[in-house]
Amino acid sequence: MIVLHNVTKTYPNGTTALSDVDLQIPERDFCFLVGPSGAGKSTFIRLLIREELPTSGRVFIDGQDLARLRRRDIPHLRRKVSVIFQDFKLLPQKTVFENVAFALEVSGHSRADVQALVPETLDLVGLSDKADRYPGLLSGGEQQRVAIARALVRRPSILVADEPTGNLDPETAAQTVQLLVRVNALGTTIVFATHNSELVNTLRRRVIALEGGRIVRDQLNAGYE
Amino acid sequence: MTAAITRFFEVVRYAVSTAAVNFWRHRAMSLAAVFAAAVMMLMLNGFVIVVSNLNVALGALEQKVNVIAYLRDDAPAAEVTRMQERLRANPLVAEVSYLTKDDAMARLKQQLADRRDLLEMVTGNPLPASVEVRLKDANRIADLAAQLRKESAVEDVTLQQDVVDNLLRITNFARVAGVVMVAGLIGITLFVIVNTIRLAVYARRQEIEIMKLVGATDWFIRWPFVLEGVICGLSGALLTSALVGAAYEPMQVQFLSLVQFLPVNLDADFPLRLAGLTAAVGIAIGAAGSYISVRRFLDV
Repeated sequence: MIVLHNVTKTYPNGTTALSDVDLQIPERDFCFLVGPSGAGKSTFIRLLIREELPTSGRVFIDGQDLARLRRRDIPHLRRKVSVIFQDFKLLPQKTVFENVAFALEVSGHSRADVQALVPETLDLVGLSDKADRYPGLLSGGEQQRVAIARALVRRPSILVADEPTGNLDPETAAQTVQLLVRVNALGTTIVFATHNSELVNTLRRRVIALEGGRIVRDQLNAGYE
Repeated sequence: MTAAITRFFEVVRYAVSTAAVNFWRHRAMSLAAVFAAAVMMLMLNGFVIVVSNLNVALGALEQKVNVIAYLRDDAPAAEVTRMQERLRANPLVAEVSYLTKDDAMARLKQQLADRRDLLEMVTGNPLPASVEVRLKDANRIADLAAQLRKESAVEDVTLQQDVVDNLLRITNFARVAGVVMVAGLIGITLFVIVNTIRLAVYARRQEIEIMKLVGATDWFIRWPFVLEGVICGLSGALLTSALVGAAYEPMQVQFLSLVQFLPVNLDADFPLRLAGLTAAVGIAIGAAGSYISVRRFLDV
């Protein structure tokens, strides 16, 4: 459960990215976060993994006030809330398998876990045959799926996707979305930031529209506009 | 519990292999750090050797510091004996020796053996009997002199105050200078290691950022670098100890011939203790240097 309570975020340079945002996203929800570039989508995501703290207001994940989180508990938050980054953030000198295994290694999973979970997850995203490739040799869509696999491999309770279809052709984008829908069906909360109106219109899910840092619309079974 | 142990070993395995890989991947940089650390620790070793030898030598000189109490000619023999007993029981005193009037004359005659003309001018025995007291700690010479002056059998007390003061000044200066130099060298070595590891950290800053974002703890990220620093520091220490071990005997001989008027003698296991100290300093500096280098990159 994600709760934002009167959240305002102003950066040191004076830009206000979010103002007075009130929001609840229940468990197992699938919602789109839409809006033009600079509407505050990325800031919203940074707040969820405590890369940033709100200037005022509060952010709760499963009842935990993130502002009160101790520094040493931040890693645990980030294991619960996985993010698929817009720029993937893959390590070029590691293979696909290693990039996904990395997310398990940092949280101290055993090698047996790694050997079991990574192939399973690569299979889920359809990359089993590319496990030994390096990210630089993959297409955009494949890199995207590696990023998704890395986010999924730890079975997070919340998955946040930041423009995951931004660089993909329509067909690959549709496949990515189908993948996230399946993950959602398995019980993971999905927050899907995008400005791909076609996807949003097809899926008819909850839509939260941001503009100039404010929520201008929050609607169930909705389209892009 | 078993899960926690498994986890611990996984983290250790990861840290050791990552540190080894990093050390090898940046081997030119790592070797530079090892050599820098070795050079610094070589200087440190040299300094410790010199200071230790000086300390032994100065300790020997301090041993020679004594106070002479000249006795009254009319002091009763029983009182002189009692005074010697009191002195032997005194915690400041290392050794007491009694010189009778005749002993003093005999010593004078011996010293002036080639100036019999001077001796002929002496009639009777004008020399007083004396008690020579050697101190355990040269710093307490004034205290002991004051105590001796209160004795009824004592006529006068002489102490080589100037000699003692100079000696103490040199001793203390050498010790303070030693500590300052060693601290300075440790600082320089730390600086070299910090910068080497910083390069390694900088080369992997993207990886560190991603690790933070996927939920790695600070220590999970830090361990490999700390180990890498320890490898650099320890390698430098081993190199230094090998060089010092080879050069120690000849150097010691040289030093002894240089200051042969002093009984310089270090324990047989001194080189071993020095190697232990060097290794400890290497490990500590490597670990501390890495810790400092990584700190700045952990704020994500």
